[in-house]
Amino acid sequence: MSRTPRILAWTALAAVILLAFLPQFADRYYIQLFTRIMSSAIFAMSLGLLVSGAGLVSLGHAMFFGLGAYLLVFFSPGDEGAAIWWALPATMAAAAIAALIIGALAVRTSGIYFIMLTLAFGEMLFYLFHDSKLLGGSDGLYVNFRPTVAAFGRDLLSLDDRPTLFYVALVLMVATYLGIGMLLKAPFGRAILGIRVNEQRMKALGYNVYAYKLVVFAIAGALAALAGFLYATQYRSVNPVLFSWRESGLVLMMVILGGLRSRLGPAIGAFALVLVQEALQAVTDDWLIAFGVFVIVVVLLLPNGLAELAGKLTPDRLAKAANDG
Amino acid sequence: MDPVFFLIQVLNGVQYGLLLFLIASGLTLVFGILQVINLAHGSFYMVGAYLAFWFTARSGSLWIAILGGLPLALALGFVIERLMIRFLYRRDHLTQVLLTYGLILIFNEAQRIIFGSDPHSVTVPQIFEGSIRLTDTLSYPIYRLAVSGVCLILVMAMIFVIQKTRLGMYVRAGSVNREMVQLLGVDVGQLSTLVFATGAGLAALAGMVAAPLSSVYPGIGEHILIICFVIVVIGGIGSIKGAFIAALLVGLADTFGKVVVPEFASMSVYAVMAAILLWRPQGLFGRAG
Amino acid sequence: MADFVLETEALSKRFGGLVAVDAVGLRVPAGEVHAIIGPNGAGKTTLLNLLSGDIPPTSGRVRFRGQDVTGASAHKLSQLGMGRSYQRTNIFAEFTVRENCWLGAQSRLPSSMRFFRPAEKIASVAKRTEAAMALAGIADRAGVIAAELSHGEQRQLELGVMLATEPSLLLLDEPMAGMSADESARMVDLLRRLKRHHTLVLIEHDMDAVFAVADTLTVMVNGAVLASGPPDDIRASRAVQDAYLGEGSTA
Repeated sequence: MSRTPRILAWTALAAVILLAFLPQFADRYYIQLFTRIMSSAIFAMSLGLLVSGAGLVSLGHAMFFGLGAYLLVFFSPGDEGAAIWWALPATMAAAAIAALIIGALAVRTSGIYFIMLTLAFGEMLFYLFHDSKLLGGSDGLYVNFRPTVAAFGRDLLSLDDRPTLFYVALVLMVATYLGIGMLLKAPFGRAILGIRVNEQRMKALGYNVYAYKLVVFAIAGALAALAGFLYATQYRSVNPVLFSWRESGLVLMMVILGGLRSRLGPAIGAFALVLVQEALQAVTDDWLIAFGVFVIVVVLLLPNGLAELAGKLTPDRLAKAANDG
Repeated sequence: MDPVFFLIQVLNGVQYGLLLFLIASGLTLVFGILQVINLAHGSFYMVGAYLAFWFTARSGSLWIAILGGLPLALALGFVIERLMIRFLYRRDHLTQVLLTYGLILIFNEAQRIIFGSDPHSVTVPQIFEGSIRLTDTLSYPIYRLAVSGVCLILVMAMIFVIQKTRLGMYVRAGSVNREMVQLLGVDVGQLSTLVFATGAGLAALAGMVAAPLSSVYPGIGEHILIICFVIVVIGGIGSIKGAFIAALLVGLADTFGKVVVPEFASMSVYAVMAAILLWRPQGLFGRAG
Repeated sequence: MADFVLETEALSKRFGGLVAVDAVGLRVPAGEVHAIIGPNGAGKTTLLNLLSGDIPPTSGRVRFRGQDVTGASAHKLSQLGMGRSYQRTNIFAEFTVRENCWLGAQSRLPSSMRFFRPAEKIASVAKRTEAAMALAGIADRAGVIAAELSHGEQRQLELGVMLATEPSLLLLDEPMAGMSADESARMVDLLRRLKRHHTLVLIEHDMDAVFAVADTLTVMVNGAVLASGPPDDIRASRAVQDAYLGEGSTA
């Protein structure tokens, strides 16, 4: 993924600062909405790592999001919230292990096969949670108490407080972005990017490509689970729909909307997509059709996503265009 | 397990498998020849089912539904190919997935707006009503046998066309090397439209024929679609033979799954898929890599 | 037997009914430049693919530095010290020259599963990258995106990426493909420099280059070895002339 162009980076920073002030002046509804958008942004960034980083197009990524959400339920005792210090890392670790198992089969394939396999595994998990009474069945499950953030016997933060949850989501979103950036600059990231560009040559250069793909699949799964954990913390209810292929398609849409060649793309896509959905829903009941048309239009007209659009608007580009035109 | 009961399950499994093959064959040909991943393929099945419902509700006869609906479905396939799928030939898989995902949303919503969200039922044609007595307590519906029969005839027709006709040769050659077929003087554009429309028509026909067996409701297309993906993965992309064997395997796995492990019936198909992939990552008859 | 860096015994590859490589036996001692020549379709590239592990053999054995490596994967062979360059330029088009060579150099770390500190801080990899770029003669273009290089420079980068893995055995597929006279002369110089510290097996159609650098020639026709020996012997051989050289030397 290319280095984020200056203008985009500054805009993003400004957006984060604006977000930081949002709870001061916005009402409940918008605080909740943006909290959800931020957990979607984390979800989208995790898929972005797979797609733009490693070139692995997964149509089942929602399975790890759903897993993260359900794991919060399982880790929460009935009478009080789970301690976030262990519940969150445990959730991410468990999701990573699930990803290693599923990935062991899936990552051996590529292209169309990989897309179909991930779709199929996603559906498998959907049916597992949908059909099994033990796992909640089609009605889903509830988190009775939100996770606690406490130390030395005192509560540090209350996640029941909307603005607090908002800030936690904001911090986690920024941390995910920076974390992925760090990963991509490290030797692991270089290898992954090389695999996306020319997998066969990477093998010829001595890289065990299968192992790298497996690990990035696990990391992406763990990050998706983080997003799911956050989602379940916010809404306190989970159900099998979270595993569905529609959710997987939606998050893939966020990645492409934001732009495949940009690290910031998935987050941009998440914000744009949810806001478009909100706008359409306000206008018409039949918003899904309009949304379908929107998806098609975006795919046809903006192959490189919104981030590229911003890149085209840098000062020197504009000057050049003015000179040429 | 009672042997007659076992026989009934086998018949059911084979019937389901043949039906699935009808749908999956279109999918695997579109992958193999057109190199396009079409998520909206299940929508053609749904279109067929709803056309069956609409026509039988008005005319009372499934025959009229098929006679009237099939040309409509073929025309729909033709239009979709010309308008949208053309764009996707040289594009990457991601673009194809998302574009056809958008199509599904539009199809589903259009169907919901026209027909509503409630399930509907379609009546079995009169001559196939009733069941064959097998034992004192068990009998087998004639219609299911008819469905199997129809599918079998279509399968044989398909095999004949693909193996024995010039058109079939072009189709087979096209799945290996699209450019080469062009050099042979074949209009690849027309061939593509034909393949796509035929696949759509087969899926729609399957939807029509299957409609009396279970109710017609929103979302049947997607469920079938994913099962068909599983079939293509198991059988190997582009391989009709693979799709056939895989379809029967899946049909039997699903049917016996419902009987043997009812709590996890839906998962039995995926378990079979995972097992086969462990053994052969490229599917039963797929080309490696 | 440990004298030979590379040895094959009756190495064959069949694709269905087609025999692409037919019982080829090779013995390449350390430090030798071994050229494989022959008409198009003779199976030369397939042979190289077998040697580098890009495709598995149907039958026969391959020994690398005395160790049986028959059927080993490409990445394992690379880790053992084999390097491979390709006839159709097989680089990372969207990365810069330095980033291209970096990937080769980084592969020599015990593991690239390192997630925290930036890769560019690793001195050993940086050193290997600079050395490879200098050896391949493209150090002055280090910051240029690979897709923007000239054809000749891309062929040099093709070698540079491989050289960054510090291989002892180099398998080169038509390193001179599509080069002008100047570029070819530079490449011959490079091959002479590489000869000092590496063993080379190369496929080439440019006969001037082949006779300038090769110690041994193996002629392949229809997948099988027709003749093998020092360049002068091959040049003088009637059989070879009839089959190949007589028709004209460059492809």
